[in-house]
Amino acid sequence: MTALAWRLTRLGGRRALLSTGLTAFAVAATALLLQFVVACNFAFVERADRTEWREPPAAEGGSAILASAIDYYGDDQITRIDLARLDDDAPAPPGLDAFPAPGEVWVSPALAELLEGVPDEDFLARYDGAIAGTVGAEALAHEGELLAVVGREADDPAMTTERSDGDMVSPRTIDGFSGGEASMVYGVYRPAAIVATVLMAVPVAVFGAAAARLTVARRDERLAALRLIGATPAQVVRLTLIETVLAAVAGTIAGTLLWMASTPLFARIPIDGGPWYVADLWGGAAWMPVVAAAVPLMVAVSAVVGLRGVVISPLGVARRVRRKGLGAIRLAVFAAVAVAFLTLSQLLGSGDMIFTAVLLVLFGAMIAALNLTGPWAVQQIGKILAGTARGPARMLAARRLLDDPKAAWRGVAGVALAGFIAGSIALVPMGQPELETTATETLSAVVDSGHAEELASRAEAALDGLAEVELHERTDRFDESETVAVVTATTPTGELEHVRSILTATLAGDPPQRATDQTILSNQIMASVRVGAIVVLAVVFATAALSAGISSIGSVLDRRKTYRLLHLSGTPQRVLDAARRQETLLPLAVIGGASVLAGMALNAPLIGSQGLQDASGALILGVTLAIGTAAVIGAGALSRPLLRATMNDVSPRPD
Amino acid sequence: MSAPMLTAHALRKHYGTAVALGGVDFAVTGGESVAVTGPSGSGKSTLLHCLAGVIRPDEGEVRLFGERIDSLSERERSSLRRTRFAFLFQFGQLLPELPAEENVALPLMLGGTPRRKALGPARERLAQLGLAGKEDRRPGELSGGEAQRVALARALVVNPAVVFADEPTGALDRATGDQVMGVLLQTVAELGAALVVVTHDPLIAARCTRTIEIRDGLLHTGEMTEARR
Ligand SMILES: Nc1ncnc2c1ncn2[C@@H]1O[C@H](COP(=O)(O)OP(=O)(O)OP(=O)(O)O)[C@@H](O)[C@H]1O
Ligand SMILES: [Mg+2]
Repeated sequence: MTALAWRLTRLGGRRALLSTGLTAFAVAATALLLQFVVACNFAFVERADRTEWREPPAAEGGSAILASAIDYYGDDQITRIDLARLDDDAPAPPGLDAFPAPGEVWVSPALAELLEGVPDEDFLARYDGAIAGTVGAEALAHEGELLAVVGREADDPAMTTERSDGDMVSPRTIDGFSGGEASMVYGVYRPAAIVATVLMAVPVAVFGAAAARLTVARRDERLAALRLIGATPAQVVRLTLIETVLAAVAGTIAGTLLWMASTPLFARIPIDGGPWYVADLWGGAAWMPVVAAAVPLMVAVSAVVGLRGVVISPLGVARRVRRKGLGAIRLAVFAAVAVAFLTLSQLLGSGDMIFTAVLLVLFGAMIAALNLTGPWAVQQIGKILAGTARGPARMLAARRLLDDPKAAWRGVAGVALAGFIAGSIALVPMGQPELETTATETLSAVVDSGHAEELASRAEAALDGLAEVELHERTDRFDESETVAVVTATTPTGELEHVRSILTATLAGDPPQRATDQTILSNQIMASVRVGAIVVLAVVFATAALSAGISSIGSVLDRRKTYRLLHLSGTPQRVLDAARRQETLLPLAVIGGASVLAGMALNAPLIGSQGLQDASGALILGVTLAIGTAAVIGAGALSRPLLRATMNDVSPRPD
Repeated sequence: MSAPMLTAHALRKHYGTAVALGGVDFAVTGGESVAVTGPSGSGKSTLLHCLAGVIRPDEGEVRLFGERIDSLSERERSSLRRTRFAFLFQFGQLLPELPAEENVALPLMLGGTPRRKALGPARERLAQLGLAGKEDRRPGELSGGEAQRVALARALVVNPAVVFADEPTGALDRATGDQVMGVLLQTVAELGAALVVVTHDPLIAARCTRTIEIRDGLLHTGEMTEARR
């Protein structure tokens, strides 16, 4: 059987090979993108895992003390881990050769680079030590991370002063660096990665499944002929499956290998302020074979579904009777999923995990349902056009939409799904506030209320007139019922880092910060969201362009007989090109526009519409429009030479 | 006898080393019908394609009303095929997604007639050929004979100068084939058009005004043909 399938593929002529090749190519792209989508989730886990040592569990009678803080330098944020040895058993922290001795400062490579040429008084003076070494990759989230590990005496104020900021770890005794909690930013990134996964995986999978239909469409005539001469339905299914799966397996292997080879490239995508270690992208390597197995399986299932018509009725395909219309039930399914999504997104209070998961699944289902509704909408557009067409191109396009709305939908599905996703993403606020430069800067640090006066005067003495020091009281940022004491220092902008260094060294505990420093983290997260949005849109639109191109070539192959005969009776290619343009662009304009709006309308209650007020939202929508239209027009242009070759083929029995 | 409508002189066509046409002369006048016969693979279809400007001969020339047409550009030949010629094949020339009437109206629409205007003559032709009431059917919903009559209606709707038919009844039973052939000959005669029909069927050849035979890419004017007539 396999031998026969292979012969059929090989002897099926250039066209058959081309369509099988296209399937393999499409599957390769699907596999590559799915491997990426899956891997990025594990990559976040890898990153998160490498931050766990910074917040190990407190242990009575441990061998060391650990505390952490966030320092600032210019527009950057530096994670600082303070360590003090209590006895000789204290293990070396990850990434360091030995437990840091008092006065030793270990810095990450990125921080070392940042500090190059920076006078000690502007930064290193804060830690009252000297650089002793470089923190290894196994202790860093990513290669761009700014991290300092500072060795101190156990009675150093930095090792005894409570941190008021919840993002920092107050001094605690520990006896090792394992079993800790990951940095809290990964609590933001990992769910975001899952959302991105759903956004990318669903259209990619839809595309992969559609690719399977491509081979099947090309084969259906021959398979119907096989049925007519007495092949059993099971034999026909098996033949096609073998052929399709062979192509899919080849494609998956190619795609996976390509993914493996291109991990260094994908690793350059900067998230959370830095690119990835290539190894992180291999963190989910165990799942690679699972994805690689799932892709051909999905393709096979899609092929079987596509074959149903042929299998049930060999005559149906051979003689092409009028197809049954698609039911409005398809629209109803989309409406139902959308209503469920909207309702649930209203109920969703404070981010219950299960609620969120269900909501995500519903969002994915909504994209899939859109794919179900598309053909129905195409058919409706076809009906309207068929009734109003005046010229031949419009009429050919309309009849084509009516005759095979599913195939016509495949040409624009990618772009429509991309539009839906772009519509949703456009709502996400991604703007970045402009930082103003001022003549003077004010640093403030929360201090222990009990010693506030003393600390303030000590700071004043240490600063020695460099800055104007004051003592205030204000309500706690984290607990409104408490008040905290705050030391502020106002200084000319040029002296900022110098003053900050002196203050940091003097006031152990919360590091002094400018009001704008608090936005550094949120800006960094925003920047990551932006990058994430770009990645998602890039994947989705790459998929859309690929699927438009492939289905456009597929549609020429599908109708090669028709085109040949039209050519014989003198139809200019111009008319056929116009018809082909119309049968993609008209549905695209209507459905694509509707999907963008649907994406916005359905997500607005959940996300809000702040993104639309920044430039980012408008930019996304504009670029979406441009790329989507260009992809579909480009796809048409791509298949034009094939159309010409097909039309001019006058061999006695062209296949 | 009036001047020939379509003439060809010394047509040659090679496919690789194989000779499909080895130097054929041909002429047909309005109102005349020519049957082209010969064994399979002898070059009948190739001759038809050369005459109709579908393919270019390697050597020789084809003239319509005295004008060279083989040297025209693809675009010009296309437009010629659309306006002056019509085609009828064994089967499958109808667009599967178009209803019968639109299939027939298509050549007119390609000529710039708006659909509404084109549908009138299309329906008329269909009715003439006994297909009234089936204008809405798709080709897949018509019998072989009906589909062939739709194709005939489409061929004739543009009032062509020459109709080319390649085994137009090859897929039909004798009775239906005779009927289609009868309608074809009659309407072509009424239009004063010329008909060039490739056929294996001596009975159909006999109904034409003239028969030529092709063997191995050459016109065969042997006694056998004369004797049979
Ligand atoms: N596109 C082509 N490529 C290669 N060879 C061709 C091509 N078209 C025709 N031939 C060859 O040219 C010769 C004449 O072919 P043609 O189709 O004209 O035969 P025919 O007389 O119409 O045969 P039949 O009665 O079987 O239809 C044949 O030997 C055929 O194999
Ligand atoms: Mg032939």
